[in-house]
Amino acid sequence: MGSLRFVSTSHGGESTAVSTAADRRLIAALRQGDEAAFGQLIDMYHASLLRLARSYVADRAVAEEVVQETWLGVIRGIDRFEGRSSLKTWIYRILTNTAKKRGVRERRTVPFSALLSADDGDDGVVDADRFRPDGHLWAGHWASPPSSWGSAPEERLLAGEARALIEGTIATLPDTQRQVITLRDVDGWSSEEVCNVLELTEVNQRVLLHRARAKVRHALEDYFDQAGEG
Amino acid sequence: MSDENEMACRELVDLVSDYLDEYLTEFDRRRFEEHLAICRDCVTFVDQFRTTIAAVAGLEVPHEVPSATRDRLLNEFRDWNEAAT
Repeated sequence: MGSLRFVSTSHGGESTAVSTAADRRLIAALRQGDEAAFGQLIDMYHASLLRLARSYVADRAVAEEVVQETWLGVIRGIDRFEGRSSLKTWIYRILTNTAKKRGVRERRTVPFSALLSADDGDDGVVDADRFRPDGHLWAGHWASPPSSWGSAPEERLLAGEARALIEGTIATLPDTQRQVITLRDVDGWSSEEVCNVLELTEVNQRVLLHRARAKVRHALEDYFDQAGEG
Repeated sequence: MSDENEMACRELVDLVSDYLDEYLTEFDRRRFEEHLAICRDCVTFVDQFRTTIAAVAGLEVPHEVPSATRDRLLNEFRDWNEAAT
C-alpha cells in the first residue's frame, strides 16, 4: 500500500497540463484505428470513469451509460482533439460533461444515511468544543484530544468492517468533496489534474479535500473509540 | 501565550492536508512543525490523518473491465473507423 503516495501526488510526478510524448503516440494510434491502443485506454480508465460517473448519477446502470457515452465521445472526437490538455484530462472532461447533463435529469438519489450526516455547510474539521475556549489559559488547545489508534492500524482499517465504514462515509459526502477525495486519494491523481477535470480552483480543491479527509478521519475515530471501549 | 506566532491546536487541525501535501508557506510550515515538537496530541492527530489517507488510498482495487463491455466498446471503435475510411 502506497502510504507515502499522498505526499508525492501534489506537485510531483509528470506534468499533466498538456499532452505528453506518450499521449501523442497513443493519439496517433487511435486515429489510425489501432484497436490495441483503444483497448489499453479502456483498461486504464474504465473502472475509474465508472467510479467518477457514480458520484454524479447514483444509479449504476445510468452511470454505465454515461461511461459508454464517454467512450463514444472519445471515439468520435479523437480526430478533433487538439492536445491542449492531457488525453486523460480530455477523456474525464467528456465524462463530467456527459454526467452533468444526465445528472440534471436523473438527480442523484441520496442514500437515507446521507440525509442524516453530510451537508455542504461550513462544518469544522474538528468540533469546536473539543478545544479550550477563548479566554482560557490554553485557549485553542485540545480539551478533548484524539487518542492514538495504536500500532499498524492500517491493516485493521482495510479489513471488512472499517473498509465498509470508509466507503460508506465517502458515499455520504457532498458530491464535490466525494469527487475530490476519490480522484486525489483513491485514484492518486495530482491536484492539478483534479482542478482541470472538476473545474475547481486550487484553493477550493484543497479545502474540499481537507474537509472530506477530516470526515473520514472523524468516522474512523468514532470507530476506534468504540472498539477501544468494547 | 508568549509568542504570538505560536500555532494553537485549533489552527493546526485546519492545516494538516496542506502540510502533508506540502502546500504550506515556509513560515507556516515552521510554525506547524514547532507546534508538533511540543504537542503530542497534535502528533497523534496528524498520524490519524496520515493513516486515514493511506486507508482511503487502499480502497483502490484493480478492476477488470467486464469482457462483454470491453468487446462492445472495441466493436464501436472498429465500426466508427470502418465507416470513416
